[in-house]
Amino acid sequence: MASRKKTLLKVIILGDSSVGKTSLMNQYVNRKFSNQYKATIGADFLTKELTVDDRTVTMQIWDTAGQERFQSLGVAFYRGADCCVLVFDVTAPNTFKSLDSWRDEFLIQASPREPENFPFVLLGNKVDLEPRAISAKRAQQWCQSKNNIPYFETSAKEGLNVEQAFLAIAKNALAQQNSTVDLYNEFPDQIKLTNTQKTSNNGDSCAC
Amino acid sequence: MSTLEVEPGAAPESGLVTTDTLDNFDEMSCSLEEIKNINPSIEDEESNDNAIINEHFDETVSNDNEVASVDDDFELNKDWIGKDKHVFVLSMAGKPIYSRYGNEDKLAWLFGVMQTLVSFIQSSDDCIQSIHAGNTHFVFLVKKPLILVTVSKTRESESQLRIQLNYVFNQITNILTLTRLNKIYEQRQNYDLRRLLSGVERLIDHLLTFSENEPSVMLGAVQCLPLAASVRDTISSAITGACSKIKNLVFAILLANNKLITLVRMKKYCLHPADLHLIFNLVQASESFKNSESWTPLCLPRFDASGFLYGHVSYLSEDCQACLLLLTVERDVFFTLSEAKQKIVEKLRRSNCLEAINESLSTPGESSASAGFVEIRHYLYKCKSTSQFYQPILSPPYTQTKEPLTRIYKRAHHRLHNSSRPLKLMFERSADEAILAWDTKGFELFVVFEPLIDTSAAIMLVGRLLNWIKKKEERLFHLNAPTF
Amino acid sequence: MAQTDDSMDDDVFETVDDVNKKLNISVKNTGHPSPTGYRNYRPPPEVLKLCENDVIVSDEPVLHKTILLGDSGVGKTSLLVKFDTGKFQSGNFSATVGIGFTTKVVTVDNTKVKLQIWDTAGQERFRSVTHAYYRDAHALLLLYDVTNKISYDNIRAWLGEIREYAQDDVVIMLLGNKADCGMDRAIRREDGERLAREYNVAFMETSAKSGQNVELAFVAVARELKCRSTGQKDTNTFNVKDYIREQTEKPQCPPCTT
Repeated sequence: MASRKKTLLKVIILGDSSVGKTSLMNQYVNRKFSNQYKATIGADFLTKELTVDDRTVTMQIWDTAGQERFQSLGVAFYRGADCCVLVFDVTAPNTFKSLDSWRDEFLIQASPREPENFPFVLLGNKVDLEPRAISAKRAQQWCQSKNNIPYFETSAKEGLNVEQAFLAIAKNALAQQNSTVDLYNEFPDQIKLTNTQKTSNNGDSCAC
Repeated sequence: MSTLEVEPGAAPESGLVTTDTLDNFDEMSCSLEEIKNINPSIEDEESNDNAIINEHFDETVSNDNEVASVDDDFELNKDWIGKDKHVFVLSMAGKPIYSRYGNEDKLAWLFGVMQTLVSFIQSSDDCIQSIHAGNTHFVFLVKKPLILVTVSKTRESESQLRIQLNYVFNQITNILTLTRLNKIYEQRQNYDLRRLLSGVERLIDHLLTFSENEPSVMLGAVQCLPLAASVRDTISSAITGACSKIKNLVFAILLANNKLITLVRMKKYCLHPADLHLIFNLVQASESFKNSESWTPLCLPRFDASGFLYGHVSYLSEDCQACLLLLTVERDVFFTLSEAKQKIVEKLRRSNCLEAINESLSTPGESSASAGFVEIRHYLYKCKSTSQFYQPILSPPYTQTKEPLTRIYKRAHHRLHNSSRPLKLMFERSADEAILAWDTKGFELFVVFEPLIDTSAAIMLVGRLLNWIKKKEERLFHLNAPTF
Repeated sequence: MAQTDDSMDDDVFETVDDVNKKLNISVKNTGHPSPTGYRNYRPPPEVLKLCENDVIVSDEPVLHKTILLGDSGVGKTSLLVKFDTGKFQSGNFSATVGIGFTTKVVTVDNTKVKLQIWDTAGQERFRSVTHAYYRDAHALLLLYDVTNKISYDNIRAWLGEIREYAQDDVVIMLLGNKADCGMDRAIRREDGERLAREYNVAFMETSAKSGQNVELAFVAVARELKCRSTGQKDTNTFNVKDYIREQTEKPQCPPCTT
């Protein structure tokens, strides 16, 4: 019953480096994407606000570099994600083959509470290009085998389906959020007076 | 330099936890496992010589490319960029919880950057402390399950900034308890904590202003409302009389105008000044207490970070704007405490204490000149054993703006407590003023003089000043520590 | 909904009809005086003592607890302050912390009724504290803000909580506040009426700013409570919803100055 109208969703974009994640994001947020942090800290960030069923939703989009030297950051990057967007290039079969390992990597690192129900979305990008190597049918089959992940074919270049895809991403993540249990009231909070105050002073307990 | 046997304001017993230095000011009392969860490498604020990242960048860190590409963005708006001190709070997942200025939704990307900076350093088993770029200091406090960051152009030291971040953390704990805070993120790492903190932004805003402008946070002490010792005793005994039979009442606190009138406590329990500051902040920032008697849960993290105390909060009466808090561990005793409050007010009215409080509140207080110290512009005196301090009212040239004075004190305080080169005594003269700062076993003293004063005159004045405070100590300090 | 250790009511509602019956605050069609047992109700001694101090209670003290509920920001405190002092607080007025406690005496048909009004903070984090006080309440004023759809949508959830924690026969009144809002309105008056009909509770639109229906909201509650508690023979004839219908200020009427 929170009156808060706004919800913030952490969205992680994963996929091989050439699949066009950055162009997708540029297309989506309508601005030139600077890539300024990626080289130094292994990730870049975008904010996008949209409205889903009367609710204002802010998407905090995390685009990761996926390079070797940032591998160890996986846990921190993926922690507390609300949705994971997997991207491949429909003209490059290797990028499709990598999807399994991206998905596994995410589930291992993020270790969501219910891995089988965690919201993923698959985007087949560069549908404006020829020749096509992965058919829509094949991609959809893969999605079905992973507990019916929604699939969108996009073209960052032509802006095809990009808005729709991100809207689906937001809806998927929101659906998960709505299943929130009452986190606040279930904890006991009574202080037991023991007649001896727990002391917290003086540095001898300090480990540093 | 002084012939005093006992420092002014000292008492055999104190209702407030003694605060000696800044050491471990960020610690909490935890009955549960929290202590273990707190990353040990972040506890020591000054261990710069350890494996701490303390990188220095050039001013050019601000990226021109970005400015060009996102020029329509609100975060580059001058109003936002131009602030002296930003404070951000985020979850370990990088989700925004609080931004002092601007809209945290629009700044969501920036919180991602901050989280990534923290985890980037953590990935090499290290912990980011601060980044310095010209006059701008980025100070990080990684305190599970939250990350707090300040970006400051004020001249406050890193440890002073970190104390402020600790206060912000404590304010959040004050609302939720540390146990709940940890449980929430154990269950849902992606939790949007703003959901539980609506309205708390105002408390944090207020707390930051308080910690910037009031010496109490820097000193780790509270100031008392000047009252005749007999009046203060009568007030305390009115409280003990009405409350002694009430089970599980832990503290009764009477305060007015950010000053303590009395603190009555259950035997064996003391209150930490940092907890009392949170209470001052809550009372000051909550107009709604003036409308009606209130009942609210609050966690005092230094007392017990794992659970709530419940507070009966009310102003004494229409004609006496002192605020009384009765804090218990029982969640359901509003009426018992409401009745006790009525009794207390009746007694105070009959014994003319309400008048005495009002009188003290309406007298402007003494300046150091009016006490006979014309060469002294202002001073702060803190008695360590009782965690109380006294300051005279402002006099020229600081009546227009307090800011220069605050800056002088913060700088001197940092000089005394600088961990790499702490000082016991310093005297410094500039064109504008002279400052003497003195740290002893029993007290801390900061005195601002007229600029032309010489060393021997300053030392002599300080001796006289201490004697004056000693003579007035019964009025200026809460010298006994009454219990129910 | 998590349970708090001290305020569970075991009643389970099976069907919509059942719910409507239980939430029915009207006392018409009942052949006997109020079934609540409030006739014999005695406030706790400390409360009685409190009210002895400042009111001369004629023969039998009539003291009733009313709780203001609803999302944060819907104007619960403003409504109460307007009722209590006649003044409208806005702008710098800050959110309620925990629960605020006010008493106010209203006169109903020459009898004094003392309302003990609990003003609750709307925020989720205070829920566990407020629940503890639900079960003692005789009446609930449940507010939404006509300019805020979410606060209206949340009314169902509030009614769910009320069902869980409050007494079955508690008097419930739904109030659409900030009715003076003009162009900012997001919830039509009919929407409020429909929701109230669905749950069989009384309804009116109010404005703490203009004063519209503020007095009426509290007085109607006092009247209903008085009728129930005194167990008067004419109880059957008083119907809070009919009363409201007769008394309600129409939205187009000029700001009330009572």
